[in-house]
Amino acid sequence: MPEHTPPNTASSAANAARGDIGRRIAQRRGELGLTRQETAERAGTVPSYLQYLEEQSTATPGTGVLIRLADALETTVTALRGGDADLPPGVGRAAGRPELVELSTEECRARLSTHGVGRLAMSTPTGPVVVPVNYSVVDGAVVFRTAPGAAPAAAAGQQVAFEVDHIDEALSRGWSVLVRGRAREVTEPDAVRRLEERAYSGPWAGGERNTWVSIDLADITGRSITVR
Amino acid sequence: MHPNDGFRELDRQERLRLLAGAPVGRIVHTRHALPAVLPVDFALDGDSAVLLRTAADSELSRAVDGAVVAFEADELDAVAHSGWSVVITGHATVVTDTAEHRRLSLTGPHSWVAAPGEVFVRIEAELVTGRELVGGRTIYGVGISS
Repeated sequence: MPEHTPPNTASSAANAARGDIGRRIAQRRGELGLTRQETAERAGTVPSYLQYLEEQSTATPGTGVLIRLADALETTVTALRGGDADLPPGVGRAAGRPELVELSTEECRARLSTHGVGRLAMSTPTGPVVVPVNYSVVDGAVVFRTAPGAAPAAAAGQQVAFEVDHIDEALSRGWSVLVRGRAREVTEPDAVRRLEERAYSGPWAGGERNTWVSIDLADITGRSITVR
Repeated sequence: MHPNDGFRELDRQERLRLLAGAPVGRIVHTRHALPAVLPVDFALDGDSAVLLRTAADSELSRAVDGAVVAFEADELDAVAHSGWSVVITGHATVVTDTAEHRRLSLTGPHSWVAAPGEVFVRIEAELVTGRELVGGRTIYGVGISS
């Protein structure tokens, strides 16, 4: 197993005083460059409540609010809660050694969630190739839409690896999930229609992206990185 | 290269600058005849190589020693529809030279001092590719070639 050294994280007294959830919300919001107003609008709440969540360590938002905030911030409730909530609020980066814990299949699937950004890797005669793609999870498979002839489309018919990770810079913890299997192009019209309806996001903008590629989730492994 | 894939080619300097600022990268290698991807902490050795640290007896060190691997770092923002991805491709070797090991231990970031039983893996930056997502275009159509 490789050792993972967590990224360096600047921590301030102000940060340490906040509750973990509030800090994660603020951190994620900062990563996305969103104002409180914008985030609150996306999550269907008001900026003053968001401010309260971010600044009061005693704030205990309900699951409904967290789900909406996680959606607005393109993350998961689990991530906002900090994965396994075994650290008390205000505990920052520990000086300990990173520890790897294998995740169960269910945990892996939960972390893939419904959609996100992952990395698709495959072997070519000149070496491995890796490209980021937007994905959705539909009917037990990772699916993504691509342009015919583009690298992700070249994955069809090949053995590929698909990886999703999240490194929590607030607490220097993280996880990664790896799906391995044969990618296949989805061509059957009903199946394509189903993906068009059920996949979380369309292409961001422009261009025709009309090839669907699917990777079965049969071989899925993952682990979390925890600093003790 | 697909001209309409919404990506702008970065020059080598930009690629290395972005890479240097990334908190984590991913090594792509072959494991049991299948590609595998693993997030790893890393450091750059100037502009010539990527350095990883791993246990001497790890599956990773055995799998990559002498092989061509890819190393990728990115920062992708699905909300803002922006980001970049940089990939280094080259031969990976476990550093066995004592003097070189000492040099890396001394010059690398503090946290990079290898514990007993750990080795450095060096990935030569034989090919450095990098793209920036521009104009809110999709990231689906990234081309293989640079």
